[in-house]
Amino acid sequence: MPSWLIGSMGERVCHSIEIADRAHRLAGIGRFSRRANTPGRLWRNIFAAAAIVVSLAAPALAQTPALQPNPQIQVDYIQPKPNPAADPNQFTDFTTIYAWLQVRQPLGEVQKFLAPLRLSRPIKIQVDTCGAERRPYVSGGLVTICYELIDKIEKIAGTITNNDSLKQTVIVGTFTETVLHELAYAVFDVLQVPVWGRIDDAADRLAAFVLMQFSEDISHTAMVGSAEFFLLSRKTWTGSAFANTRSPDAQRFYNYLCIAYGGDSLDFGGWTQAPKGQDPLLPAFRAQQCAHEYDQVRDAFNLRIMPFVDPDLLLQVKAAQWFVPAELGK
Amino acid sequence: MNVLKLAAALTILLAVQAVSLAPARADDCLPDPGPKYQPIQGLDGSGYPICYFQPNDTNKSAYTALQSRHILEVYAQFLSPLRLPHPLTLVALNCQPDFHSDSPFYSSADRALHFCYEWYNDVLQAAPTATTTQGVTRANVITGMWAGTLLHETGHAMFDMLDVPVFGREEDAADEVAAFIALQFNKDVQRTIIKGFAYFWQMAAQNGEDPPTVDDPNPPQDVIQRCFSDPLCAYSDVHGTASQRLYNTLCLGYGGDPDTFKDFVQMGWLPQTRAADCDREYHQLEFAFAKTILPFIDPQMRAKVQSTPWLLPTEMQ
Repeated sequence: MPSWLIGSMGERVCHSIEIADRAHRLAGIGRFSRRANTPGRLWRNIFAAAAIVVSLAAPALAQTPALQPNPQIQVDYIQPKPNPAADPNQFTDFTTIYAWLQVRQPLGEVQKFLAPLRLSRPIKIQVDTCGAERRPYVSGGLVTICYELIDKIEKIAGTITNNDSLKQTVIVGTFTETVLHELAYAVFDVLQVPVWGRIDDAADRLAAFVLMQFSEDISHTAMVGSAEFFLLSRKTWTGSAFANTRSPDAQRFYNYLCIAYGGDSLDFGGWTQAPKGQDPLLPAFRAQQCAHEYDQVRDAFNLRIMPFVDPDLLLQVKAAQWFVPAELGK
Repeated sequence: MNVLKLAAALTILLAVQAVSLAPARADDCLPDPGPKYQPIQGLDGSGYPICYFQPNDTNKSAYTALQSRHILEVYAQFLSPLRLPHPLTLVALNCQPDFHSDSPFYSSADRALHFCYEWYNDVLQAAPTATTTQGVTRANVITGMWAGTLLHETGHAMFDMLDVPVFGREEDAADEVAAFIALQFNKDVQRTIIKGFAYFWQMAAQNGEDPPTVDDPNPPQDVIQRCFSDPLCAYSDVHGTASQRLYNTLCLGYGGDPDTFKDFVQMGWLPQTRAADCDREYHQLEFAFAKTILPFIDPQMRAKVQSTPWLLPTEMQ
């Protein structure tokens, strides 16, 4: 494998940025200047310094109050429960996460984010201790974001060294993707959406598609962060491991890259480029399919979900600033 | 099948999408040499024109086998309840060297299912010469793989022509079409197709078609082959891995008819952890089919198709 395909995707992000940046500079935009390294920040510090983040957030969050929370979206942060079988340090970590959730209230943002969605019955989303990274959604049940998964995001992001901006992107992007991914199951269920293909992939593709509808700041953070997370957390799969209903992280990685590139081949076009003698991150044979894959999800969304979306509120959601500058690595 | 063929299959898909294929012209199609096909009464397959192209010397035996079975004529009638907005042409052809692949494919460019003569020989080679420990026979694999492949490619055609909303990965969805339709027939048909299709992917996995776990010290020169020899890049395929396709197929069989397929779990072919989810997976599929494809199926003709013996007893042994 070429050396630049090994390890963190950061180098390739930089590469994609170089190419996209060139294109934008030609257009006189230069939107990627924000990618310069920001002062060092650790995930653990982000939780601990939640008050600082929120204070940074205040001006940005002030742009969303026109949106009323969707009354059909109910949220809850359940206090972490110690697991006797787990490392006691993990409980400490969960407690720190819980404190951050209490301050940042990300699920409150989700209530506003989903304001346009007309639901025939409530969806309750909670953060809870699961004893695993995921608690599968059961029809009519709760959507759960597990402390264990948030903890994993923290730990995976912690393996990124010398690139605090990318680390921040992984944390924020993956958390956002996780929430939308888990919510997708409930949306499919409540709206009675027919789902062809494995539902876990469908949830990924829907989440990725939704994230691509927003500004470059959001789509870049979410797509790059999620893809990087999948890349870093991938494991070796063999034999009956493939019986899992979830797809390997490496497969999810390419699915995200493809939806991103298919949705915006300019911003993400760098992934199909490579220095001479090396292979691009997104192989040409897959890249050529990505516009079709993106269009397929878009058409499915328009046919089966859009009828339940208030178009005026949708525009407000798209116009809102959902991440604070610090969360975007600025 | 091997990695090279799989990679070539990807190439062909891209080529087909990029290049407009000329619709099959009646003049290019071989006439039925006889004995003539005797159509099943009451099933109008006119929406599915057929064409056997002249086989090359290598493919003559495949042509003879397929044509004497009237596989395209039979399949056209099988599809008669499906009301597509455009004719769907069924073509048997030499895929090598023009398409660099042995694998059948659907092309939206000419609205045709292309069945490669080469595929016939590939399936014969993949089929076991003796019954396997899972009770899979040579006939199961030959019949199951052919039927499964026809149905899989028809799935792509339906997604395209009927504008079916596909939220998941299309290749998985096409496998779901194949399994679901197979499960609408009697138990012998169900078991033949599900077992044969699943076994094929098991063999593919055993022959090294799952993504590698270590770097190739001597990566191939060809860019696609090099990708498929890489532990990360191999996952960029639009298809699931061979093992994923194996377990997906077993799961839908078990989910659709636990009694008929409980031996899959008992013998450990389908892990219990996955089996627990199969009822949900099958019902997800059943719901999707009912909402998006069933409205285009004529109920009377469907009933007739379901009661027609499409497979010969020897093909289900």
